[in-house]
Amino acid sequence: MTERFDRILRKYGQSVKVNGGEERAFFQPAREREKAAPFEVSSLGTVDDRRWTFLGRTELKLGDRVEFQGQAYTVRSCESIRLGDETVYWWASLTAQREAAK
Amino acid sequence: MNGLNQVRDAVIDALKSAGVAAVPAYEGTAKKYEGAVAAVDVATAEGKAVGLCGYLGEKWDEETGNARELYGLQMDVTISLSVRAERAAECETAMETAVGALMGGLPAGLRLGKMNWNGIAWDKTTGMFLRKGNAACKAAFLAEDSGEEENLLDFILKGTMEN
Repeated sequence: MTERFDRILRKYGQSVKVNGGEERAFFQPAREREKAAPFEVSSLGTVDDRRWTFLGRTELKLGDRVEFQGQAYTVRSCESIRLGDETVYWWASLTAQREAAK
Repeated sequence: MNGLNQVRDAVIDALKSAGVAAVPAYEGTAKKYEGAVAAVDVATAEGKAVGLCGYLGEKWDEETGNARELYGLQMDVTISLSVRAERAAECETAMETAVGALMGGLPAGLRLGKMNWNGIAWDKTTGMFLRKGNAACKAAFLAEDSGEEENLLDFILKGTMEN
């Protein structure tokens, strides 16, 4: 099953960097209920709270960094997806990484 | 710079001097910080004139050799602080440092009254731990006439540098 998934990724996936290493994965915006604005407001400033979904072969942990088309994202939630006893791929939900304060 | 921003900036300066990163609240996009950060805002303000309709008297200007008229304004302000950090312990430590800065690091024109803090909570929006607090202060502002032009200069928070 993992070979099939790898073939699908090679054909239909996107190029991403996971913690600096390049690979193929599905990286798409997560669908969510319609909102008035693509951000939340806090006293610290506005926060881009749009979620992105990652499906790939690399194991991810909370806080890991994924880069896609020059933008960095942070893993907020992740799980391994199994078929039988085999981990076929990793699912993760990500948000855009905030710019570092000077 | 208006009076409320002077109060806010004086608190930000006091926090920074104590080693806590501090920013004006609701300004631009939220950044990522290495440690804790405090967002500072003036939540409420109520002004009243002091002296005779704000007139405090005259002071002698050594440089020009003229008397200059002094005016005063006092405001009761509530300063709102939101201390955030990615770790709870960092948030607690920064809050304690912020309390110390408010108690001992404010300029002469800001006198601290009552202070209260909420318990630590998780802020889902920023993905950080949060402690919110309020500090009631009395803010004293001074203004003087500009001398030759007989114009009243801006009110400046007492004890802060004039830019």
